[in-house]
Amino acid sequence: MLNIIKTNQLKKRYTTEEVETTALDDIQIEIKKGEFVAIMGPSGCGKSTLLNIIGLLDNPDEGEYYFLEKEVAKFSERQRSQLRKGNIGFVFQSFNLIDELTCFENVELPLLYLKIPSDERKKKVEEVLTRMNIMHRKNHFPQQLSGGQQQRVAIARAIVAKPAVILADEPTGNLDSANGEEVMRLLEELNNEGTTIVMVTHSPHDANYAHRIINLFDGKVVTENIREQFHI
Amino acid sequence: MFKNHFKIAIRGFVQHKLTFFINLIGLGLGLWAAILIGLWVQHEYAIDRDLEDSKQVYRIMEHQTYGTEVFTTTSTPGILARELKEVYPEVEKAANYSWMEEHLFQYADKKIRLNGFYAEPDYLQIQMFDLLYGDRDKLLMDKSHIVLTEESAMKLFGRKDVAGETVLMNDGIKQVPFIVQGVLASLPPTRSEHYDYILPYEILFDKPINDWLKDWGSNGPSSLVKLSKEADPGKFSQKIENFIKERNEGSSVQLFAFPQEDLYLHGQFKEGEQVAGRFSYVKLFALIGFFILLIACINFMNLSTAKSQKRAREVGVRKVVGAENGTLMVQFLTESIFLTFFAALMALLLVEISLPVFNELSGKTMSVPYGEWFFWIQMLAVILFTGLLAGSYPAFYLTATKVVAVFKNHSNAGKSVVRARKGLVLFQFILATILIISTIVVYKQINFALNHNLGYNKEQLLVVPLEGKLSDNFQVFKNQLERLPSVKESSRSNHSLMGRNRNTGNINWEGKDPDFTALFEIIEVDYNFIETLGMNLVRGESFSTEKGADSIQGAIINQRAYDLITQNNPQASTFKIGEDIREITGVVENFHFQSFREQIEPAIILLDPEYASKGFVRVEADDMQHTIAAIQSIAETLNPDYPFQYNFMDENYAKLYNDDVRIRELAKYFSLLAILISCLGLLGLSAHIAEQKTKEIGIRKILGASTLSILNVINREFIFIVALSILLGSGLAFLIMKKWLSGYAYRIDFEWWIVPLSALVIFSIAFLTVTLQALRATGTKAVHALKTE
Repeated sequence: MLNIIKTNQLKKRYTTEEVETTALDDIQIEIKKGEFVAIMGPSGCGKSTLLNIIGLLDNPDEGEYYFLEKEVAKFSERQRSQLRKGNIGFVFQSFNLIDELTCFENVELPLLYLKIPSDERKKKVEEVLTRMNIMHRKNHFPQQLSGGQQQRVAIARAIVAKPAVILADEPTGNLDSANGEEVMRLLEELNNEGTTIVMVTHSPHDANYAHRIINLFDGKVVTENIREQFHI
Repeated sequence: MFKNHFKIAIRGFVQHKLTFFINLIGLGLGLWAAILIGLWVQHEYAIDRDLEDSKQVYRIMEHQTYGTEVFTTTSTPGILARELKEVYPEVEKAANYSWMEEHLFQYADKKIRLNGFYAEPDYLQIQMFDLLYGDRDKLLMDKSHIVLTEESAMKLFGRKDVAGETVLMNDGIKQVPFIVQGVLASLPPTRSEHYDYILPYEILFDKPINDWLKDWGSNGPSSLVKLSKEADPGKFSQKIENFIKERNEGSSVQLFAFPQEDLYLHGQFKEGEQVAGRFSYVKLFALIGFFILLIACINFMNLSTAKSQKRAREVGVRKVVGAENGTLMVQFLTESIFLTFFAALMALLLVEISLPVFNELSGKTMSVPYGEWFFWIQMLAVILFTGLLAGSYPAFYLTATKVVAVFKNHSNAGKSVVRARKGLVLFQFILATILIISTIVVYKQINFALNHNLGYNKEQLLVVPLEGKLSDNFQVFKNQLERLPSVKESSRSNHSLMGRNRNTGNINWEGKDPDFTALFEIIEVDYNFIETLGMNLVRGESFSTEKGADSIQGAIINQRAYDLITQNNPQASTFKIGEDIREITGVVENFHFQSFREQIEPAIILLDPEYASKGFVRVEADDMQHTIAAIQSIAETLNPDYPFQYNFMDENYAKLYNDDVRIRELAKYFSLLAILISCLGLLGLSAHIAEQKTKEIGIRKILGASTLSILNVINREFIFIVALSILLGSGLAFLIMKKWLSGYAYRIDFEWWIVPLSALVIFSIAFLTVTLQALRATGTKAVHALKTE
């Protein structure tokens, strides 16, 4: 099956004035199309750094990274931006919706940058908002919504352009358990429909939704479990 | 996409009202100043450039050499123009025209004083002003004709179509009738000259008293020529260089042609070299306008980058969902241009409100040319330029934000941007310091010039034009005046002491170096002039009736003339004006008869009141109104044909500095504006810093910090910058003002206290602005402060 993501001896270091910290060390992972993968580990283990690299938001210092079987480790910001567009959808812990735009406009944003015509945009946005059960609040601003609703809008934005992969960074971190559960179910549903999902989480409960868990510790992959091995 | 940018901009404005208003007001005020100055600069540039063939029109000017000094003037012999036309085929048209004269005109019962001059017929063929009535080819030819302007026709006749009507002009002796042969349309406001009538030059030329007009050694009228299209003005200047020398042996005059359209801005000469003159003011104000706008743009940049932490998240989100740098740049620039557009609307409103006051300050009659498409193109260009200038740095800065950094919860305000922001504040306050110090220096210099001892007492000195019977029967007028208890002394002269009038280089004395020449001012006066003016005699005595012929044959000279005459021969007691030997009967302290820009030149005062045109009356300071009413009553009884007119000598003198006073007033207001805008920026920035430091302040409070020490947390950010800008700004202001002061022969020193005073003003305003914000921050409860995390 097609490898959506494949890394080889990936390294990332952060240097401040006095200290050099290795955030990722020899990371070797493969994520196939249609998989639901959770990345877990304690704070500071490199989860977000890994997510940034596989999300094409940042480059590794060393190693290879294949996205859709294309080597992208040395891509410029412009190239990464081009590749990201339409291929990767992001869901964040803090939702990261633009306060000055309504729900509709927030969801519309990726389509705008893909230069999709207005009629088609409207259709797609409404479709996805309906699916996320948030259509009735489409003209509201993010501050007027509950956390769960905001995250549903964020997911709508992540999937509206039908990306190959959704990267979710602690998607339930700012939600109560009921809303968290709803978001996880939505992600599972999307995965069932064929969308690849990579999720960083602290929560073993959320990780249960994944097919596979990659555990990181001090920038290294320590274990990989498949669902059958950890599902209770 | 644009719709999206637009929406974000509007919603952003609504959400961040303080920042929006600070930016709007700052940019609005900046644009206001820029538009006003732009109008003024354009008006200055347009002066005398409105005629179709203005590129072919030249004034003939003279460099006169006296020893090592070169004096440049537009005064020429009264026959120069016709001779040039005769000799040089490239001179298509040429006209001599006189100085301005004020005369009393009468039509029916209406009597009005009008200002005008005498000109040869070609004058109106060169200056092709629109003619409402009359045949241009026949104007100024017949000595019984007159040309009026539309305004003067309205004033005299109450209508414009007055060709063929007769008007009476009082030439000082009798009423002379003139037939109106032409009516000129209102002169455009962009003409440097303002007049009400033109009379044929021949009237002046044919008077026996004006025989000197035919003399190549005497100067008075101006000479205007229109060269053919093919003519090379440079070559023409070379050709006429020795034109006067060839016709007047021993003359030091060098002629040259100067473009008439450049005369207003560039026609100032010192020692034979062109100097910046009025153009330097145009440059100065263009620069001030640009700087004020820049200060406003800097506010925008600073506030935008200060708010960047918040915006950075938006940038990150947009990048994550697919925005490219170019698109984001366009978005931010659209926002700043959009804001500038609002600011421009505000600025236009302010311009509309303030234009009457500005016109009064600048002595112009400007209006905003709303009907001209060119104005709107310019406005659009200004909006785009300002929007791009203000928005460029924030746009580059925000767009360059790394998308990864955005989602981490720390400030992305790196050291470089903080440094840049401080640099911009530094720059702003340097400009504000320069403006404020320059304003103080200009103020001091002009006050110095206005209040300094001039060598005579200009206070409570009335100047009355001697017309009609006041001129004929001055002695009667004087006797009656001196009977008034409030009149102390009176006399008369041909000289106003407000600039050069009549002068000669043909002064010789025993022991004079034959190569040395100097231009001596000749002042013809009546008895009692020295006493009436309050000049100080340092040697000899004043003219007196008892001395009679001795006084008439003698001369009183100023100290400067005395020093020259006695330089090589301390015993010298006589000198010659031409062939006329004069004894030095008195020496007065040097007195100023020009503005403080000029050195005091040698002057000779002669007892010869025949052509005196001004009466000088020294009055008591008390009850001035009654005194003037009494003088008026005497004058009108003696001279019923003329309405009484008078000026105060000190006011006449102040007029010499009209331009400087205007510059001073404009500089003052624009400096205040610059400081206001700078402080507005500081207000926004300190509000932002206070907000950023909420956590630090909270922690400090929990640890027991006093309000004062918390104030310091915020104030210290600015104290150093403002202090540094004052230091650098003072240095620059010192250099700039030293250069400006060097234009004055008599000037103030750059006094040391100006710097600490300006520093104190700027520092207090800045400190107050920041402290207000800091106080707000210290008022925040520590618990809330920490919660913001």
